Amino acid sequence: MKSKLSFKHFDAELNTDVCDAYNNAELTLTLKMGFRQINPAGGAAEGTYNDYGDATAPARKIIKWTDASWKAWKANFVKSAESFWHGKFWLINDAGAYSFAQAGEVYYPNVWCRFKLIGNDATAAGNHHTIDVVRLHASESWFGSHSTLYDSKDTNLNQKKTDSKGKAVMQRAHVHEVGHLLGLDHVDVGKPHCLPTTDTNASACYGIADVDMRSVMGSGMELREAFAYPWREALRAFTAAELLMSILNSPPGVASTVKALIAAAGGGPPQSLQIPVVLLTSVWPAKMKRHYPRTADEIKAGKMIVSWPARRVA
Amino acid sequence: MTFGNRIPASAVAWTAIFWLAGLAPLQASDNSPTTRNCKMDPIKQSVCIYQAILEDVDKNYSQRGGGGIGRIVQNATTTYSVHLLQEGREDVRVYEVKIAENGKVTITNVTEKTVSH
Repeated sequence: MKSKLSFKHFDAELNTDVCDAYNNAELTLTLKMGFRQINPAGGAAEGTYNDYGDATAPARKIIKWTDASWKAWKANFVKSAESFWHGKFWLINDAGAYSFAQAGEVYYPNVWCRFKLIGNDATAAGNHHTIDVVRLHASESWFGSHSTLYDSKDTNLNQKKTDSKGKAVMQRAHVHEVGHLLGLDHVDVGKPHCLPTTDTNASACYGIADVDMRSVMGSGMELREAFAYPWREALRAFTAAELLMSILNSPPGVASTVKALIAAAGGGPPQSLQIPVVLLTSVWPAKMKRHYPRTADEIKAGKMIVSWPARRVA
Repeated sequence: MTFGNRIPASAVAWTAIFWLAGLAPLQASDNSPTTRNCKMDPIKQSVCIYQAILEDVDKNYSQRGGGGIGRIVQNATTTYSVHLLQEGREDVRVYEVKIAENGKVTITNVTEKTVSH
């Protein structure tokens, strides 16, 4: 079964058709970005543009986009950002959801997190985000970009910080920005030095400890399991929708369904794995290593299958 | 032939003395006050204060990427703001300095705030 949901920041598709004893369900988040050229004024080949698009900030030399440079930049942006975020997380099925039978055995798939980035021009319909882009002159090494204003060198690897050992912490800014577009905050948001009620763009929010500053939602390029958040929340929305549909389609009325749900919430026999109320309380913990579908016994035993398992095949 | 760009040896010596006198006491602002001897004419005193602030930025600001120092502004007689350009934001380090009658300048307080863009 393929289900689709649209969110403010992206579209999501959950595909359970691909499930078998070795393959998990797939959750694909699709982000449609609309890019718009910023060119020198008056059609000139060269000009200037101010950091952050703020006339009081320093001006940087920019050059006019050509069709070839625009196409190449967009392709590089999309390819590199997509490959960074695609296929890196698995959400562990702690709810007993989406079960299927194969060769007489019932399996519970995990969910593989996929990412698709579509780079459109800003004029295309249906973009989730619109981004202005300046093309920096070769003599410029830096431009003050922000969440809706990028520069042509944002895809380059640049030093952002120095860690406690004096080692450079490097980042390609665009993968960090795409993380934000997916709904991720800076790595230290929620910690005492970066409370959500304060400006979460403050430098401390990019990570104080080396391990945090090296993460992609800090100042580095490393992924953390917490960054599976957009997929996990999307999956929870799918499971909530499934629960709702289950109630709506339940004859002869809601009462019997509610009874079943209450019974399930109190804990029950293994069959309770099939009752969708569990989906509401499930966490879907994220892992950054492939985890194979499990049997009910393996779930009950808390066993994780991380290497190619022996399975009966039809 | 002109010798307009030649620097007399005595000037070099005096510059070295000023430089050494100013540089020696600098310490990290996080640990103890940074001091610098700035008893000079107003221009040289300003330069001296800015040098003390720059030294502190170099020593204590760890975000080594970005666009560097965008501007330094004197907000009041003894208060200066250093704007450090970063992606999507400016980190603003606000310095309070104390200028003693003998010209000794001490950085008495450093705070940091963020201006988001």
